[in-house]
Amino acid sequence: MAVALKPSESVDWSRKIDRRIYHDPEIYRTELDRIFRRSWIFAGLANELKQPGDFLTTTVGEEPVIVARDNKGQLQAFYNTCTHRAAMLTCEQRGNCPAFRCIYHGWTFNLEGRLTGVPYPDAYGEDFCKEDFDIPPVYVEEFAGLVFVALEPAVPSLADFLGEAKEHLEKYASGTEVLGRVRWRYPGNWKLWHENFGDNYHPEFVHKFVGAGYKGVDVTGSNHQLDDGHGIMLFPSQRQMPQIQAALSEVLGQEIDFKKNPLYALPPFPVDFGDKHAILTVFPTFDLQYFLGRIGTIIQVLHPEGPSSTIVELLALGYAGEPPEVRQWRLARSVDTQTSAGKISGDDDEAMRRVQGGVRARAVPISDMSRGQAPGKVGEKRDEYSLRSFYRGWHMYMGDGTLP
Amino acid sequence: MSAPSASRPVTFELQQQIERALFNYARTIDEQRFRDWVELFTEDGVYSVMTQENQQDQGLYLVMDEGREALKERAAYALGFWQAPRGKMLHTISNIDVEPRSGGEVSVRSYLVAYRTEAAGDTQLHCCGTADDVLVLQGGRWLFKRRAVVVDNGILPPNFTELL
Repeated sequence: MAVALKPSESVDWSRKIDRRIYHDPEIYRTELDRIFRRSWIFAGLANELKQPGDFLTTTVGEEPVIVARDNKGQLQAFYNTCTHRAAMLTCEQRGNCPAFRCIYHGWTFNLEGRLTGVPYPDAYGEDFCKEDFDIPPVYVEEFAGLVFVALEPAVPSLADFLGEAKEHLEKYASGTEVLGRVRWRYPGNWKLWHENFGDNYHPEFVHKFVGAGYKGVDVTGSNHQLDDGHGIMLFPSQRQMPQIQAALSEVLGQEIDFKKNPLYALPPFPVDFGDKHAILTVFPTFDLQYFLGRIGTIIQVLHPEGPSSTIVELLALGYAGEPPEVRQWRLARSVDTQTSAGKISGDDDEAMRRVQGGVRARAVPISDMSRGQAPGKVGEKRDEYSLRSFYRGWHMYMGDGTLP
Repeated sequence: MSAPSASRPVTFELQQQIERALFNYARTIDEQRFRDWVELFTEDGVYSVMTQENQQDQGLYLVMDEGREALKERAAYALGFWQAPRGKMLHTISNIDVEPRSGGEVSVRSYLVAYRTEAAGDTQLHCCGTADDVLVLQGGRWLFKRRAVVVDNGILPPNFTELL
C-alpha cells in the first residue's frame, strides 16, 4: 500500500492513533480510494425521491453522484458527470427532471444514466455507439428509508455493511421525513467530526451547558462497539436544568427564567423511544442523534474537501404523520443546539479547529483512545469502545486488517 | 415586502430614525455589548436566523429566540457560555426600505453583510443576507419587535454563533 503507516505489533492501534492520519495528503488520498470508494455512503431519504424524475445529488469522497427515481419507480445512481467533456449534469441539491441534459454540448442522459441524445452525431462516424457513453452506474440500496450509495463496495450488501447498526437505524430512522438541511464547513479532518460524535467523554468539558447540567450528578450511560466499524451511545437525560439556568444567569449577571422561554416548553410528541438519548455512528461518515423527549432527531453526514477541511451536512428530521404543532415546534427549535450556529455544536467546531492545529506538533505523534479497559464491546458512557470500533474499521479498510 | 408604497410616504425623519436604530444595532453587537443587545428588543421581541435554502423549503430555523428570556440566554452564551471565542465582527447594513404599518410599527427590510476577523487571524466574509425587522416606538426609542435574518450562505462558516 501507498501509506507508510506501519503499526507496531506491540501497540493496539485502535487505542493509539497516529496523528498523521489527520493531515497527511497521501493518507487522505488513500482514504478516498480505500474507504470512500469501498464503503456505503449515506445520500438521503428514500421519501425525498417519491416521483419518477425526483433526484438528489451528493458526493462520495470528492466524487459527484446523482441518485434518481426512474420511470419504473426504481432508485438509480450514477456519477454526476457528462461522459463527453465531464461537466456536472446538474448542480441542484435536489429536483425533478425527465432527463439530464448537459448544458455544455447538449448530450442527454435518462434517469438511469444512459446516453439517449447527442446533437449532430454524424460527425462521430458510423461506428459511434451511444452505449459506450452511458454513465457508469453507482450501487444504490435502501435500509429503513435511508438511501446509501457505493462506488466499489467491499461489502456487497448494504445490510451486511450496516451489521449491528441495523436494528438501531430501524428504530430511530424508520418513518422519518426531512425538515431541512444545513451545511457548514470546519477547518479540520473529516474523521475528527465523526470521532467527536462518537465521543461521550468531551461533552461536559467542551459544552458548559452539559457541564453545568451534570454538576454533582452520578452520570450513567453506555458506550458500544457495533460491528463492523459502527458504534452507539445510550444515556439517560440527567442534565439538571435549574443548574444550567443558574450557570447562564451567573454569566449574564441577571436572572434567566427558562419557564418563560418557549424553547423549554415541549409539546407532547406522539412517538417516544424510551428513556435514553441515542448517538449512533455508522462507518465511515454517517451520524444519527436521537434527542430524548423527541426534541429532534438529526442525521449528519461528512463530505471531505481535503485532509484539513470538511463540510458537515445536517438533516433535521420529523416523523411522518405527526401533528402540525409538533412539526412547527421542530422547524422552529429542533436544531437550536446543532449546526455551527448551535449552542452545542458551535463549541465542537472550535474543538476541531484546535485539534487540527495541534496535530502538527511532530514531537507528540500519537493520540489516545484507550478509555475503558474491560474486554468486550460495551463500556460506560465516557469510555471509547465506539471510537475504537471506528478505528478497527478504518484499519481494515486501509489495509492494516482484514476486511469483513 | 413589495415595492415601496406611495400611499404611506416615508418621511425623511422616519427614514433617518430607523437607519439610526439599525446602525446602533450593528454597533452594539460589533462592540460585543450583548447585555445591551437584549435591551434593543421589546419584552416579547423575537430574533431568528434561517438560511435562504430553508426559507424556500419548509422553514427550518437555525435560531429562534422568542421573548426576553430567550434573548438573555443567547447573550449569556455570547458572553462566555460558548467556549468558542467571539471574533471581531463588522456588520454593514444597507438598502434600508422602511414601510410604516398600523399601530405605530414600521417594517424594515435591509441588506446585511458581515465580516469576521479571528484573533490574530484572517478576515473572512462571514455571511450576507437580508433582515426583515419590525420596529416599534416605546418610551422614545425604536425597539425591535422582530428581527428575522435570512442568510444567503449555502454553506455556513464555522463558528456561526456570532449574533447577526
